[in-house]
Amino acid sequence: MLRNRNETEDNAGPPQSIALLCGVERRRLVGGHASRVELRLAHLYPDTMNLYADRGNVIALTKRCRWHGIELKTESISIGNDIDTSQFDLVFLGGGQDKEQRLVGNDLLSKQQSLAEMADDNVVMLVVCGGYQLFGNFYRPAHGPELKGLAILDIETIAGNRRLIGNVVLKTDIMAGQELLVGFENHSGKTYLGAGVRPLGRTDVGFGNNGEDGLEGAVYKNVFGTYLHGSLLPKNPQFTDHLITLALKRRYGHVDLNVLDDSFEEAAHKAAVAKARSKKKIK
Amino acid sequence: MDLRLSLAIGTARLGGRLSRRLHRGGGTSLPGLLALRLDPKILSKLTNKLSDSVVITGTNGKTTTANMLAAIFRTHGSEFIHNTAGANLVSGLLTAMIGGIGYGSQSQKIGLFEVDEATIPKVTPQLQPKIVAVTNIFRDQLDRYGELDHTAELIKSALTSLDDNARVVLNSDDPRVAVLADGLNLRPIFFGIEDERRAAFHLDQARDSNECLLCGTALEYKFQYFAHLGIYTCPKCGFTRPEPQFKAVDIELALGGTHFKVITPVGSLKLKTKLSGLYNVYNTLAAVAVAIQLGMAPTTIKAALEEFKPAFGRLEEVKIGAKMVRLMLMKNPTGFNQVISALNLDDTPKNLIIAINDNLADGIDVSWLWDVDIERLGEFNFAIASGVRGEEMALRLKYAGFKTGRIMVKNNLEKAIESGLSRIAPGEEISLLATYTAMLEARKHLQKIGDIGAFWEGA
Repeated sequence: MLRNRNETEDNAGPPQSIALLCGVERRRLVGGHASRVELRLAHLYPDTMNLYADRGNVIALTKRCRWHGIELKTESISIGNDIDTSQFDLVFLGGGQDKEQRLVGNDLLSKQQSLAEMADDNVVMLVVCGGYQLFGNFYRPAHGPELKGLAILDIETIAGNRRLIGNVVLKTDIMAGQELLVGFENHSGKTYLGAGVRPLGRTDVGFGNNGEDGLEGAVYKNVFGTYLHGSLLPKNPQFTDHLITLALKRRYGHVDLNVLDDSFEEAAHKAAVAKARSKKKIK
Repeated sequence: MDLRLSLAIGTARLGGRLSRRLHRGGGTSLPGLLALRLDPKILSKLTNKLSDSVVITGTNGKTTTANMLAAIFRTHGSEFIHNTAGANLVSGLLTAMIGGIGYGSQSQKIGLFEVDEATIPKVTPQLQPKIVAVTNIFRDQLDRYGELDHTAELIKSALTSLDDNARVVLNSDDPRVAVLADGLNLRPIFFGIEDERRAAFHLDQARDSNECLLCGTALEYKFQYFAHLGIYTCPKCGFTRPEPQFKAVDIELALGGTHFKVITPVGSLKLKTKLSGLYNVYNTLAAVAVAIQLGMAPTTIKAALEEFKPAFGRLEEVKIGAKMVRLMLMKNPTGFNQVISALNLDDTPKNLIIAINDNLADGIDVSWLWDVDIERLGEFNFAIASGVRGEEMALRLKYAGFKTGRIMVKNNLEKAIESGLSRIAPGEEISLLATYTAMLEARKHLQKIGDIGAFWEGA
């Protein structure tokens, strides 16, 4: 792969020397090892569940980890591969078309025990759209039998009769520093939350889980499910850093991340929010 | 004499003239909308006045393929009507018909229509085209059509409504298109590329369909040209790339043009086209297959295609004094990846304006930018991210590893163009990449300052 002169990484984050002074790296140095801090991500079914630019989320996690002085090692887990529960700090699962979702659904059930164990062990998971539905108790199609889910998130999804499509703005209180999440939704399934989860946020613009109760997404421990793609993580940098922080805390104890220059991220976030809200007024 | 029809046509024509006079755009759909309001049966009524019609559909390459056919018809001396400039919904088709058909009973004109994938099931039963060509099926505006499978279903339902002596022209290298022949009563005509030297060593990420559409098993590729197009077979059910009757071989690519040979059932054809990119070889193949089917002579086809210039926003060049702007339309990951491949054909640092809108005609979901292999983009002096969602584009460039100091956002496209021009010296050029509505805007501004025709004046 050609790397050209523009493609240097040092511009976007602080230089290594600064990164070394920050929380994580220092802690490792105390132990006498100069090795980089490392996190490991399991990307589930990247070849089949990649409908709406889901790889943007993995790009964002990888880049921001690097700018924070952390090496994110990503492993692709495909159909038939086992998942080693002790190996991973983060798990990502994107969305797919109905057909692909059925294909993946069966394989996912064979990993049910491993993934449930990891969720209870506070592994950080982000599951989007189709992946979100598969993490729930079941999906009930318009015709045919119910499809069993992983039951890691206490949610139920029922086939709707229209697609819920458009920009979404959420108000969330799950993290400090960013109270809005912005993205795009495109789903026909309607999802309802059970007692075992709390919502990721309340919709300011858009349909959210079902277009009825004003809720979007579901959170259980460090598992985050949402319908927002777009991609979600690049233009919601605080949320990305929140996921990284949770993963670091779990593996290394308390951490402070570097302060990054997020002017591009914030501009994209603001533009997306403005666009979503302008549509709302027209309605 | 059908009074309702005459009234509809008259009003529509007046509307079109007014729209142009008021500079409200090319009037490429308004007349059709007016006419449809006044006479809901107008499409089938006007169809009866045509000798035959040809429909081009698919995700990418509709406009180019249809324009190539228009050039061939012109060289051949056939009279035809043609919806131009990507006006490919019902309103655009009607506008073209109203403009080209008289009040009288019968014309000998051929109808040449590029039709949007979501529109094709609605118009096919009324148009009853003689030939339908499907270029390819890619990820495009999923927010509008729902999902990819749905797009294929829309086209399939249109093909099953064709009458028995119609012909379908299909891309054999695209499994999603080739499978459309399955269970169809009509004998399909296939076209494809057979040149292993053009296989991609880099498999881009925008590969949409890689499992067998009949049984769900992962397809095995001997090699892929780009995205999911290539030489494939299903190891389980035996679904395999159909042998094409029209093949392109010995392909030589360059930024200024492409040389290749087309093997057809009536002999082979050596072509030197002015178009770049492998995707234009597919467009050429589709046009050749349709033209041969209509009985046009290979010499006529060759003459027309060698003179053919890129269409609206597709590598079109605009001179502004001693500077140049090269227009590149892109509207989905594969289109954008192809534009990057075209830019990478030479390794001079580029001057870029990338304009991203998220209006309905662009696709309201900008997620697709994250599916593009922006990482493959070569070196640039500057990249001005423009359009309503310029900030998202700038962010994509940052996350592809480019220096933020060379990336700027100017949402206003006119200002972005002015700023870009002020940054280059005479003799240098800007590559302006834009989504559909941004391209319309760019051309409108370039018309004021440069040497370029109005887009409704034809390709």
